[in-house]
Amino acid sequence: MIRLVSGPIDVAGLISAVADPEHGGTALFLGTTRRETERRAVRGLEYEAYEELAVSEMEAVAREAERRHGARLAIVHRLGTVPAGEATVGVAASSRHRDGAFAAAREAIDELKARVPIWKLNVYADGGREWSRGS
Amino acid sequence: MGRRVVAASGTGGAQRVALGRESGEADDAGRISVAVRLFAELRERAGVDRARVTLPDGSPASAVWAALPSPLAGQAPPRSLAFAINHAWAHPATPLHDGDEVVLLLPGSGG
Repeated sequence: MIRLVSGPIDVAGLISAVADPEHGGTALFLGTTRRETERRAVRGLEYEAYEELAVSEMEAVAREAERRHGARLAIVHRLGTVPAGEATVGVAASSRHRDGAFAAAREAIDELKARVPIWKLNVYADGGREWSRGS
Repeated sequence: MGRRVVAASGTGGAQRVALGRESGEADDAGRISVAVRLFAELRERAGVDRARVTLPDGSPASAVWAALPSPLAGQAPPRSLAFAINHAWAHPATPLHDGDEVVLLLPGSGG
C-alpha cells in the first residue's frame, strides 16, 4: 500500500497492509512533527508533493526494500497541514524475521527522505514560515 | 486508511492528453512549447505554479530555467536543481519535445 493522504494516518491500516502469515516480524516507523525545531516553537507543518512522481518513487522505494529484504512494505505520507505532535509519514514492514523487517523499514524511510519529491514548510508559532531544505 | 488524495495513475495521462492538444502551438520556425510546473519554494519564488514556455526545438531541460517568469529567470539556477519530464526524473541535458511537461525541483524534505 502506497498512499498520499490528506488526513490523519491510519496506523492500524498500515500494519494490516503488510500482514502475512509467513512473516514473523513487523516493524513500524512513524515520523511525527516536533513541537520545536532549532529552538523555535512550531505551530504546524505543511507538506506539498509533486504527486505523480511522489507516488511512483514511493512505489519504487517499497519494491526495492521488499526485494532486498524479502519484506512487505506499506508507506503513507500525509500532505497539507499537520499540527505539531501528529504523524506525517508511516512505514510498515514485515518479513520472515525481525532483522529483515527493521532493515526494510529503515531503508524505506531513508530512501523516501532522499528521493521522494515532497516538501515541508515550517510554520512557526511566531508567524514565521520557512521551507525545509532537502539534502 | 485516511482519505486518498492521489490516484497512483490516471491524472498524469489526462494531463498529457491535454498537453498534446496544445502541441499544435509549435510554429514552423523550429520552436517547441512546453508546460512547466513548480512546487514549494520554487513555486513561491516564481509566484506561479504553472507556466508555458517556448524554446528552440531540441533545447535541453536545463534551458527552461532562463525562460521562466521573472524573478526566477534573472537569478542563477540553484546548484541542486533537478528535472522531471512527463513524470519521470530526467537528466538536465535531456532534449525536450513539443508538448512535454517539465517540472523543476529542489531536493525534497518529506518525512
